[in-house]
Amino acid sequence: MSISVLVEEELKAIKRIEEAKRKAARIIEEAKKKAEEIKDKNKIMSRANEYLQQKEIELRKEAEEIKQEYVKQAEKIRSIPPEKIEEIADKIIKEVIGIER
Amino acid sequence: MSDEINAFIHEIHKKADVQIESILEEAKKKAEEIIKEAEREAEKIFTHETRSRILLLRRKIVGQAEMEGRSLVIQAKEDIVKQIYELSLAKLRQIAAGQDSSYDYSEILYQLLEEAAIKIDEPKIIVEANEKDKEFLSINLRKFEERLMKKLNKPIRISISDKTTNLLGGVIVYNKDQTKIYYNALESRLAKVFEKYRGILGKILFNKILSEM
Repeated sequence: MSISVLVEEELKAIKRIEEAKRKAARIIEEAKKKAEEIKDKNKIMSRANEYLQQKEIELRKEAEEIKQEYVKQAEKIRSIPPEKIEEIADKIIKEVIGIER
Repeated sequence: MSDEINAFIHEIHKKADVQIESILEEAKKKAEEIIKEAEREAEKIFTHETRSRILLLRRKIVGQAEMEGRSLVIQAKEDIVKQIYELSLAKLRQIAAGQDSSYDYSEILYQLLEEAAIKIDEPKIIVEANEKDKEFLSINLRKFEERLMKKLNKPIRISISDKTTNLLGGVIVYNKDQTKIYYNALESRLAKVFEKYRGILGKILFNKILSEM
């Protein structure tokens, strides 16, 4: 009686272990499937395109900021006062003529 | 059931539990590794696909903005340089017309002639000028010859060319066979001085203005 109980329990344990092995195989199989999905070229390309679209928006923003910086520089240059231009022209004239006033 | 048998059963369960836990743990680890490896591969492909395209996009979008921006600044600088040039030219025109009382154009004309004569270094020189200056030079020819003789410490003959040039002012001086020619016109002097100032304006004036931003 006691040996048969032990054998029965042993068989139950073996079944549980077999079940665990099957579960382990399923876990790995699912991981492989998921890995294939992750490596799916179409999905990667689609993600890359979305990323590039986002990046393009950022780059356009950066480009606009850069351009605005140059616009400011150009405005600053154009704002040189007429007196300064006159002063430089006078210096040039003195040199052209080669004599001081 | 005896305690002994119960202990055996408990031992069987315990061993099975340990084995099951180990099998599942190992499977989870392997699964994680498979996914991580896939993610690494995907990331590699993603980076390969995006990196070069981002570089191209940057070159196209940001590069274009840089180019347009720089061109705006260059244009602004050119406009200022042009303003200075035009103002200088207008001032020279006034001086040559005798309309600027700060300058004695007659003396300037003589100085230009003297400089050219020294450079040519010939006993006979021919002078070309515009109509107005030719008239002035013709009237003062002997006087200028004497001044030049004193300056050079040797005799010199000046003749005025029949040709009339369309100069703003100043002279073109040459020897008889035109092997030596010296352009001392106001325009050419302005062009020469202006080239020097173009560099100075870029290096000093514009850089100073931009550094104050």
